[in-house]
Amino acid sequence: MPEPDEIARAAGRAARLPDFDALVARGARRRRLRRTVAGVGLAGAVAGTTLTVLALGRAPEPAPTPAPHELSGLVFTRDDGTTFRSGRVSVACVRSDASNGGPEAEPSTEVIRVSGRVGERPASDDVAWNLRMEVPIADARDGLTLSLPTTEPAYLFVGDVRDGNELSSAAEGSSGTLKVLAASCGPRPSITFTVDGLLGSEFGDLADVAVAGGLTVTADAPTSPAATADARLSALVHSQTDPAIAASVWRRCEGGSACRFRVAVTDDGFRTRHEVSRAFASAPVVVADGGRFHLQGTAGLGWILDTDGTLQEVQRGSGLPESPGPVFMAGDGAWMVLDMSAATAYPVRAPEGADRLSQVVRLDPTPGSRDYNQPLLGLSYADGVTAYLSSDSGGTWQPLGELPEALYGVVRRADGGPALLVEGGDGATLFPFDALQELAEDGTFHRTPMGSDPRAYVGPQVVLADGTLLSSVEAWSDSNGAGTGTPPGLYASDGDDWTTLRRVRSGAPYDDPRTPVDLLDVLVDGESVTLVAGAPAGDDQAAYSSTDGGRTWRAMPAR
Amino acid sequence: MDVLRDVFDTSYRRLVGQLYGVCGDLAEAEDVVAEAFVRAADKRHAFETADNPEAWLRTVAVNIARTRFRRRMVGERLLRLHPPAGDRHPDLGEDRMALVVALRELPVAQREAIALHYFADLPLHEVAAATGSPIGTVKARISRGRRALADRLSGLEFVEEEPHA
Repeated sequence: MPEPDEIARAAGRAARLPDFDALVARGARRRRLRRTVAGVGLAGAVAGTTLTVLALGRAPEPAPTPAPHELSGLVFTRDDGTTFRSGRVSVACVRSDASNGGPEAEPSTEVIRVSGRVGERPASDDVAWNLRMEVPIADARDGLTLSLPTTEPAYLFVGDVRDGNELSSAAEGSSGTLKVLAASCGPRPSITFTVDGLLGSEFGDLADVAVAGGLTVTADAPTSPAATADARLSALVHSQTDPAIAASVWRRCEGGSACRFRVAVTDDGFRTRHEVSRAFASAPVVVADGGRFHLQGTAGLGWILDTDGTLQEVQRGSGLPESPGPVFMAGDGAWMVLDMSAATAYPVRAPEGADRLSQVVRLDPTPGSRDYNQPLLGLSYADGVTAYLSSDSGGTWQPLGELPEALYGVVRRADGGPALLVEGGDGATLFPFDALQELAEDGTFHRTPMGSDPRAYVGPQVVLADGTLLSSVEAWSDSNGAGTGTPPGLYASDGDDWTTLRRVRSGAPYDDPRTPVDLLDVLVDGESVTLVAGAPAGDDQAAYSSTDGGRTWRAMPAR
Repeated sequence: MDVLRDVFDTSYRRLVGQLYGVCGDLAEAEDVVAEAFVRAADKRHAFETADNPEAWLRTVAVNIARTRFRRRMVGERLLRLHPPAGDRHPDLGEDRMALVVALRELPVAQREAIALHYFADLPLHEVAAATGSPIGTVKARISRGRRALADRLSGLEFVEEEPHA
């Protein structure tokens, strides 16, 4: 391996030396600005007080906190005296971007996020936002006062469209106060906040900008594409890169007619959504890839769904995909790799000498990986099951060890362990949890058999950061009907002893043992795992999410 | 005696080299280290009373790199006055460049830990201090990062099996 320390030394030798005096001057300027703003603020307050005393003969009352309806936006004042204002904004409750590399990288925090624009938007500009504020909802619910500069994950960020200046409440030159007067998550997130101070520039050679004012932002009331008593959530899939991008599948049965499945898609956490014009006779399979989705029916290659609700039919290609995405089985039984950007699916070639590929899955060896560059595992049934690995979407294959003849699914991991498969028989409707297969570095599989008395039939599974295996058990083999035998629901192993399964004691709305957790989606973000489950029958909500392994749940929008 | 000047003369290039592995780009590493010195000039007292001024600068530089990286991830289409500069790299052989490129594909937390431990040759406790993470977490990130790099680079072997203390 090339000596890594020599790489660092080479980089140091090649580095261009900046002007030391210029660096010092920039630092001194920031210090002066910070002291000047504080001094002006103080002097202004004193002057104001003095004038008022002269006029009234007594000290004035402190200025009251403005009522929410009096807040008219944020005003930013540049050092030349010109101003720009906040424009249209929206609010949502999401996980912070800290997991992308912010100062507190792990785990990411649930924040309430205000996002929008400032200034005039040029016609050629496709920037989605240039104003953003985030504060942890756990801290903000009961009111919060922050002194600038703020520390992650709370921040206020704005981009000045005039000169490209980027300003942040976390920058060293910042001063003043950010106050959250009220904040709430739930089906309609809402926040009221004020800011008064100086935002430091992220660029050392551009000026800081003053900010004053406040906002009240409330999410629009969600509307349902299937708000009838017979509508049931069938699937809810989130983008792994941005959980605000999601698609939901609803089964709607109207009167005595056959049931149909409708799909809704959003890019802002269902604050707004588009309903796909096409209805489906059976539930389509929905897979997320970045900001788009693949919808697959019972025949053909399916469609690419964009967040504006438009569908693009997938075409068949030949050769290898340029941007490999999800793997799926086409209606004719062929295994395909989908190139989402090209809306084209490419047949996966079987390894040389192998009969045909009976199953292809894409592994997830890198926890929190957000792209589809993971290798393909191909399984060929001929005198046993030989497993193969491909890193180029089936262009070439490397043989691995053998596996029992079964169906295999991928278990996502947040603990950094090697690729993990769940092995089950060919159940007609339920997937029996027979064993786990872990792919070792030497290409062999280490098998952990599960008990068979009773046998669990599972849906989504995930390994948490501490090594605990969570399994959504849809049924047990000892159940003879409703309410008999081992109850279905969410089960956890005893730490990394995956052969044991204990039912997770969940809070509302799954606190009744007769109300199992119906797991729809699992989001893995580094070591953080979010479970998404459908609401119980009769519940006002559509879906719930949990970030603590299924113990507590909060409502989440799905329509 | 100007402590800041002395540290600049002795440590600037070394810091850029250390941050190069973290940032994956020489120009970016120069920017974040320069910004760290600006902040040291702004916060003179905190800098000059630090037990280890170079470590102080390195921690600040790592935090700046993270903030800039996060900005690019969540707002990378933000209007900019100037187009971003093209990547700059030192003159490295093919093998070394492949390692730098592979490192850039790792998640940020793993990249930081690998770069600071192996490129910058920092012991684990100094990597932990620079990244604000527990030593156990740093070890786990290094292990995962090594596996991920090994997947990407055939024939890659690290000189030692376990991270050095």
